[in-house]
Amino acid sequence: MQLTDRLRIRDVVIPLRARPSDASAQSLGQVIADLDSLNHDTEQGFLSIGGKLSQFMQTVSVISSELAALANAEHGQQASQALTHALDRATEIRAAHGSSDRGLAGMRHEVGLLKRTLSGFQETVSTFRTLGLLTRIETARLGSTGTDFSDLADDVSLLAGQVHAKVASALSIADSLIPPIESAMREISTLEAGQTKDLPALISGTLASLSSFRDVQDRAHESSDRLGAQYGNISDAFKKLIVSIQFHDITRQQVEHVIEVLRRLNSESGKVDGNPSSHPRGTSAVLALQSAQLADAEKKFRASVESVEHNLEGIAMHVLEMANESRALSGVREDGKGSFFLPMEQDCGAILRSLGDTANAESAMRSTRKGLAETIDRMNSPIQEILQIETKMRMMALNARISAFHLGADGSALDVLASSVQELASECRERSDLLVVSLGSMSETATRSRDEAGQDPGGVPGNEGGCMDELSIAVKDLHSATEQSFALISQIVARGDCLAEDLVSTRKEFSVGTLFAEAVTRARGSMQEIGDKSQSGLLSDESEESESGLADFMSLYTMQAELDVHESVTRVATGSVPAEWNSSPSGNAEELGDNVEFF
Amino acid sequence: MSIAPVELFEWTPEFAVHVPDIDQEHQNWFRAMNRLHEAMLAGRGVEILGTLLAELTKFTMNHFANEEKLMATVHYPEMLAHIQQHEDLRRRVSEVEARFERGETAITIELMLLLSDWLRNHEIVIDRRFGDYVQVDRSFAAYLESLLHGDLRGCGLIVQRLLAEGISFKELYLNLFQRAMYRTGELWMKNEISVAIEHLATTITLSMMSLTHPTLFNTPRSGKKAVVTCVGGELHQVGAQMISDTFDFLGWDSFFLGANTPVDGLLELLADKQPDVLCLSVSINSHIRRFKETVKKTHAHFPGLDILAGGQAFLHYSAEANRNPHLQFLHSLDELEAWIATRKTTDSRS
Repeated sequence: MQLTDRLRIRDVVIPLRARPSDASAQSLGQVIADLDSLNHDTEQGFLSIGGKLSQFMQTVSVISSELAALANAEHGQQASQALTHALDRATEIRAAHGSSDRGLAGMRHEVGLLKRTLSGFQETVSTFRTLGLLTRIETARLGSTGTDFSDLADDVSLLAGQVHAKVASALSIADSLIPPIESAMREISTLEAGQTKDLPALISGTLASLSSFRDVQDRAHESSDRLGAQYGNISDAFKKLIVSIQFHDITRQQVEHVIEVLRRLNSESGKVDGNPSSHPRGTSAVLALQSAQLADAEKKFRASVESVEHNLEGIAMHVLEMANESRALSGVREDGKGSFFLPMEQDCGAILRSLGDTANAESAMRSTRKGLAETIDRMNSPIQEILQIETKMRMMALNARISAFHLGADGSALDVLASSVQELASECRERSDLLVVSLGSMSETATRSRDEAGQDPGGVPGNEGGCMDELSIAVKDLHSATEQSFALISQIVARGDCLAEDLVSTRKEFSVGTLFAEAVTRARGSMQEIGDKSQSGLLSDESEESESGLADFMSLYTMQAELDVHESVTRVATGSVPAEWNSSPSGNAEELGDNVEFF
Repeated sequence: MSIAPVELFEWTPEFAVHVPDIDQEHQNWFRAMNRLHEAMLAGRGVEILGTLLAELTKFTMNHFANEEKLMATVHYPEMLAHIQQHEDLRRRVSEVEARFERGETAITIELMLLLSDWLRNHEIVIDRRFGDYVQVDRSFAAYLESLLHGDLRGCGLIVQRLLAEGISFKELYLNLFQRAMYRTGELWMKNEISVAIEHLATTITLSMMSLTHPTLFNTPRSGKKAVVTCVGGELHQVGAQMISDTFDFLGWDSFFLGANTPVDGLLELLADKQPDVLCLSVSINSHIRRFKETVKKTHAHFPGLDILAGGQAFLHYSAEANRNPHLQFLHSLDELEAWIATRKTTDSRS
């Protein structure tokens, strides 16, 4: 039998006579309507899944891309380098601070000496005043002879007063030096704690977190690889799903065939005897044949639906695995209260806080050191003035001694007083020299300290705070990358969950299997009933031959034939052509019959 | 390929508390969190922190004030605990804001986790419970009127509407059925309604409870069994039915024997069903003697069987409990829920 013979259904409907039946005509019409509606509904069900397929596949592809992006993110590479760099610099910073601290301690010692020296001046001033008084007494005793010395008494008192004032000023300045020195030392201590103790610990912690994150990335890589395989499985499952959906097309065509035959049967009704309710002869056999078609379609449809459901479940399972794997990557606890990324963020925050504190302490220390140098400079002025007064005193004492010498014996007492002034002036000179040396030393320390404060803690001039700024920027970048990864993983998890939920809900909504089975059972029942009624009105001799022929045909006629065509055509398309097809005269699509569709 | 960001926090009607202003504010909250997520995804969370924290502060001021006002208006029983949670979030948001103002910016992940936690545990659970209460409260007067008029259909329509809105089983039981029955009891005691009306209300309530059963049976089963009954002579069975339904709702298989169960029959059933717990309900004080007899006989036959006792008769009675480690008195459905949860924990440990 030729393939075309097996497919041309119109030739099979043999007009036979049957007894009229209104009820059966109505039933047949109802069956046709039901089957039409069934085809429409199942088509909608499959179309609904088909419509979602591309969306599902796109989502899986996006999840895959996002996971790969996470695995390949250059997360914290720059930060890692900056952190390591900062850790190295912390040792240098500690050394720089140690030297600075020692300098300030020395300066505090110098200020102590300075104050003691200045206090020594106060005694000198008192002696000067006594000498002034004695000079005034001696001058008065000499009467007119000592007139020249009255100026000496006034000058000594005046200069003593000036020295007193300058010393008081210098002492006040010296007193004001102590608080900034101590403040600077405290700031150094803060910096010491922050930069050289806390910060390295924080940096080490962050480096450890970064290392842990790399582990996460490694796992993300592995997950990504596994996802690759998983994605392959999902894609295969999707392909199977598409095949299952295409397969439904065959059953749809089977049902269409049945509808077509039933329509023809319905249209043939009444043509023989003019009664619209009478069916042609052979109706029973035709209906039995179509019922068999429907049974076969139902079997194929069930297999197709089961396959769709199975594939959807499989995809949902894979997607859930992917989502769970992503959730594990983020380290987010089930209660959502913690995440691997939280300690990373806290480390970044602590480093930035420490850097902020350090910057504030640095700024305060810079200002303190600058003030210190200025204060020391200010102290130079009264000491220089003391030096000038001391010079004046020595000159004045020298003149007094000359005058006393001219007075002879009367002037001996005044000579003693003048030489005492001279000695005191020399003592003043010595003290002043000591002050100058001390101030010079302090000034040098303060200047060095000020210059150091204006530099990068590592000691690179012109790169103020460069290392810390670099670290701050790197840590901010690290935090930005951390929040990005956190958000990305959250997104991957959310996408996976949504997709899995969508798949499960699609699977639940896919109820066409039951619908189809129920409709086919109903239709077959009706067809059986109509066939039975029709059969009871036939002449046995006429029917036997036809029924036998139809039974033979029924055994051959199933839509499996169409499936064979479909598969063969597919093989043709891929270059594998069965021999029987090559020899068939009906090798083109048009000759396969009207009921064959290529898809 | 451009990767479209996903709405991490999607407000769906299931989060609705059915109070339009509150729902609107919750949706704003969801939107704010999605904005934070989007900014974080671009690594620019810090840029919107200032605005977001300002919004959060405004939210905690206005939204919480609105909720608290409404809670006071409807006399919400869990108001204090709810306000405590508001205070907690206000404090935590203030702390984060103060840190931000001090210059701390590495706080986006912490903020996101804080807000998600709030969303998960407060808005979805606690606010939803409040929303359910408001819905039930708004329907209470109409329900009670229908109940006292014996209007089964009227009551049924209200309950069906509430079920369709997704009102929880517990809310319906506590704040509709139980509250209405307590009110009915009060009216009967004041002689404002007849005993016939009170009985009618009882039968209607039992019918209404059966409307929730499809929901109860959908919950996953734990494999545990409870037998729930009223002691011999006790005819008030609504409370016992609530206990039985609660067991079912929480995944237990409950066998409800109804009113006036004789001890011998109960013992036979216990031997047959081998439950994990027996619950005895007593509403009238005069039945406490029967209750004691039932407990004694039950423990004689089933020495290790836990017995839970509840009902109006035990509101101020717990003398037996001190002497019997297998007997506990429960005074509310919350206590029953807690007991079941404890049992679950014990089982998971063992």
